[in-house]
Amino acid sequence: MLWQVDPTSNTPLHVQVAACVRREMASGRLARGDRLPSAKEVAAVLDVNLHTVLRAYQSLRDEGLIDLRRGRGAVVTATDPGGDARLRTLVTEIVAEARLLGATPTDLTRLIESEFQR
Amino acid sequence: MTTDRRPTHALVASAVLAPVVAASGTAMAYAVRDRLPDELAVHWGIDGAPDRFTSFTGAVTTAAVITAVVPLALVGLGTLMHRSARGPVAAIVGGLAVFLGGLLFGGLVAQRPGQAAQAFPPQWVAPTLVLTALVALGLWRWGRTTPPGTAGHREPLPADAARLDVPASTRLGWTGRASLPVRPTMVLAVVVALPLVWVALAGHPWVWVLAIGLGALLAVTLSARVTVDAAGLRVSSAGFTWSKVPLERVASADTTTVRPMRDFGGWGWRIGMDGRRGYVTRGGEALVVRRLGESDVLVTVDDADEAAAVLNTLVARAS
Repeated sequence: MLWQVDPTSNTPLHVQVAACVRREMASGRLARGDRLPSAKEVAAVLDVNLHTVLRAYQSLRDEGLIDLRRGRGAVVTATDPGGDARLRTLVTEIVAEARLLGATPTDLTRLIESEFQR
Repeated sequence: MTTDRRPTHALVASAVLAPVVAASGTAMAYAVRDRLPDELAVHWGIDGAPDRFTSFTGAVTTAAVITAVVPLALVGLGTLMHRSARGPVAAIVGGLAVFLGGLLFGGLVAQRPGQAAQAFPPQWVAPTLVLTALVALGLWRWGRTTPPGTAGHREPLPADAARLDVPASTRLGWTGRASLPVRPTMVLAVVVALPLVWVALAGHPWVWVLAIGLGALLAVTLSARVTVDAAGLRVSSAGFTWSKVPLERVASADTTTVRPMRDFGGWGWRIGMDGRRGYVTRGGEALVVRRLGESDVLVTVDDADEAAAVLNTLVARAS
């Protein structure tokens, strides 16, 4: 799988690392039960701190996309990783755009709610 | 530019070694002839008991011919292969000559009248295996070529080489796995292991060494990690590195379709007739790394096009 981070970007590195995994899920190349490379491996490949990758993996676990087990590494557990990851990816992009434009979370929430009511 | 002759020298040395081992074994057998029984055991049953006997001359001639001819047949194959394969072939030839010599002559010279003859006497097992490994390793090291220097100018990446459209500040990496298909591998492992274990239990305990060795080899080959990053390409499994191509030695990367039997004569870490190195776990899509002044390295991974694009992008940045 492809890993890419841009250290010059405003988006924190761990968010970018997590985005790599989500993109892979959204494209259907990571399915339920697949194992992710170890955090150590990813840290070496991208030349980033191990904790950056661990933080990315933890956020993916908190979103219910993967499971972290001692000795077994990170395993994809989401029933529909594609769908979950697509939504997450879109939200990440919206929030990044909102930050860029100076929009607050309240502004975003209002926009999303109005979209639902259409 | 002078051609590195060491692979050829190593292969010639291994070709000379086989008859030398056969001659030494013969000399050793003649030296202890008085102490050997009149009829020598030359074949053993599953239970470890000898079931075929022959005269001294017959037994020694058979042992000498097998020790000399089998490795030489491999030398013949080695000469047909790409010259970069000569070093590894020399290692196999030399190791095989020593192993056959130790097994066949060890089984002859240890026989004594009135004692049960053993196929591979215990006192011969360890020296034979150690010497086999040493000779193979020595020939392999001797036959290694020094890759041509890459300092100074280098060819730019071919214009048609696939690459990623990302900002220059992006750090890129790619990870994948080359894994043997689980079910056929398990079936094959059982088919190979059962007779070996049977023979080992029935009366040839040294066969355990062979069975465990093959098992360990399979365990290491089962699945390899493939990484592409700013350091280049790395194929490794369980701490063992099969292949490492530093970025400065990569000319370009591409994809191809592999047929394991036709292109490499099997599965695992392979050298093709044309000198291509390959980590082949299945047929189909594979990443090919073209090296500067050396044979291509190939590894069977899914999404090989993506891996090739990452590698090309990194090469383009470095040149």
